[in-house]
Amino acid sequence: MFIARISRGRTVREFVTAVLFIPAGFTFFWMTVFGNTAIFVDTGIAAGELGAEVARDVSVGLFQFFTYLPFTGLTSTLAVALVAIFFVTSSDSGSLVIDTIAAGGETETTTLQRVFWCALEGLVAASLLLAGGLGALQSATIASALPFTFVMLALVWALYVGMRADLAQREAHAAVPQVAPAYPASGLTWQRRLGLMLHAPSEKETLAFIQKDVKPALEQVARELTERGREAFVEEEESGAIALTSPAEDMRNFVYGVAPASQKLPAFSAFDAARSGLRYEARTQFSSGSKGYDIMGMTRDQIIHDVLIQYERYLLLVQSTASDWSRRRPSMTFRPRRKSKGF
Amino acid sequence: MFNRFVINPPVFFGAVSIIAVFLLIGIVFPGRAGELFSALQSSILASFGWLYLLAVGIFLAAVLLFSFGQFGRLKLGPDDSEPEFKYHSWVAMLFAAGMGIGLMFYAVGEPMTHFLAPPTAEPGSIAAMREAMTVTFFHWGIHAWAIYAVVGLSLAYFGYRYNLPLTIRSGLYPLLKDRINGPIGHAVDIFAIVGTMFGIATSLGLGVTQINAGLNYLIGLPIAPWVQLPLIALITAFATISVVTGLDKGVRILSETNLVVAVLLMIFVLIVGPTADLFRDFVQNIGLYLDTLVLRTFNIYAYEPTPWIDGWTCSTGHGGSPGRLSSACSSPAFHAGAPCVSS
Repeated sequence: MFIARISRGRTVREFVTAVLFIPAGFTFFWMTVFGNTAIFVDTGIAAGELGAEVARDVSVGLFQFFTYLPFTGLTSTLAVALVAIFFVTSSDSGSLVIDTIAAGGETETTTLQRVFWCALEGLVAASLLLAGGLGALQSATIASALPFTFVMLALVWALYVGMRADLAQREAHAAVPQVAPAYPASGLTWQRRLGLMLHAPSEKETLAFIQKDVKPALEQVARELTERGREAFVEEEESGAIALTSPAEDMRNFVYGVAPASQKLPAFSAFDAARSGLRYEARTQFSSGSKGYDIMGMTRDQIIHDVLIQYERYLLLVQSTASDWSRRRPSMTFRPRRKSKGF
Repeated sequence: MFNRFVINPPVFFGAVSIIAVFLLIGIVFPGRAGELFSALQSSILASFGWLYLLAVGIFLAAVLLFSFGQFGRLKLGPDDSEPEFKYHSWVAMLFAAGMGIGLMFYAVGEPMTHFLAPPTAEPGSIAAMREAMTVTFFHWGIHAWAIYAVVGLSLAYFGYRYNLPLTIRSGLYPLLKDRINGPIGHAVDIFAIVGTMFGIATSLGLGVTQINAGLNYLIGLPIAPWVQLPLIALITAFATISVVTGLDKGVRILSETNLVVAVLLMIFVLIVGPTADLFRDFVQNIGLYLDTLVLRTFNIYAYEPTPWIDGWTCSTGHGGSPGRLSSACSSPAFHAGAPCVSS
């Protein structure tokens, strides 16, 4: 899970090559250094004694090994400290992973929960050690690996299906002529446009804009769509984000979302740089996850116009590949779930 | 009180009760449970050992195909998402992911054990040396990481590109659609939690026996459960404190320092050991590894049965009896998750 969490925004290729080769490469070097030195020591000065010790108890292997090297006390102490700290960090992070899965993917959970899992881990380890059930547990783990192997094969297949669908969708996208989105503040005097460009809206202004202009515009479109027999509704979130959704069967829903987003202000002078404020935007979001843009400053009519452009584009996409679509990419409905990230 | 918890109730309570049942069995009938599970284990390995090896081969082939084909350019996130971390720090994090209790525990132990009891060669011979290092590399090499890569890829792809929750069930989305929120999804997540829990517990068990061995060497503490239990309690308490007080940053610094110290330890061994030989061995080991990669992937000794394969390659790793390949099968990524999430 850790490797997944740090890899958002990487490509599949970067991810796979790095995950396969970087940790393994480090491990190889580590194992060569310790393993080959151990064999060297065992066949040399230790004359087989190191091997005999390891055969008796694997856990003493490292410390026995250090006795054949200089600074034994220091290295052994360091090794104990290392294992202890790895213990703390893996218990800490393991409970985090478990906690996230048990919370249905939510990463912001309560402290009490994490303490619970942390303590349970210690309890499990302790009682198994005490009862000598560690061996039983290991056997059980191997036995349970069997069903999980099938789950993982399903994961691989699902990845293939998902990626193929994404590629098909991307090709379909490329086939549809790109329609330029409405330009914020077009039609205003150039002085006002310039003013808008240089003005850095605050979070409050952005939220107010979404409430005052975006919401009525989306509601108007939703009403009109519903009247024409297409189901459509507008949803709001605590974060201030708002979305017009028109659900569709067998294909992606149409979603036109607007969420407050922030960006570091570009600094044009040293003075600005020192203040380094944030510029808030009202960014669009679509069900395909395609690039959003800032609509801050659009009038209500312009927003409606922009929604229609996107809707037209969506219809084109859906119709142009309609026959293909249902076959190649069955209902990959985008159901936004997470609160923390807008939709 | 439960209102304050952020949990997915079926998964949370399901996982907790399964863990409790296992724990009770392990405590009340350690002997009987051990017999039962090891009987189950050997019958599963006898009938399905080949499947584990084949599955791991498939995982490796699949992630390589994903990355080198057209799919490789798809992003783990919307098309316009940018990586959160710079390339160098990302690589460093993956590097850290490779490090953990297992590496400390088996660094000397695994090569030595194989050296003295190799799968086919004469124990203690030059051929055994060669085999020992190849087998060690195989167990710690890209196969194990292919398993983590499958789970990580699935989590990241569906979590970040489809905005599904960051849980294992989301990986089945293209196959199950909204049914991932039903019983199948719960079962998969519960399975993942239980596997992770026991994986970490075994890893902690390992760590504690090694700390005990080290203390025995340093200050003469005997190796006994009554030393190990307080150790588990103490270290778990540390982990819990770090969770409660939100010392996440502290833990991160700790684990980064730990990594640096581990690397220094390795460099120390590299220097006081047969330095030039080690570099030579490293190159040789890589060569042997690459040379036998394909054969070892599928080598189950079908024609010359040896108990070795069940004992090592197929048996649980990270845990007590070494070889971590299929332990990885049972609780992938989380296993890596253990050392991984830490930094």
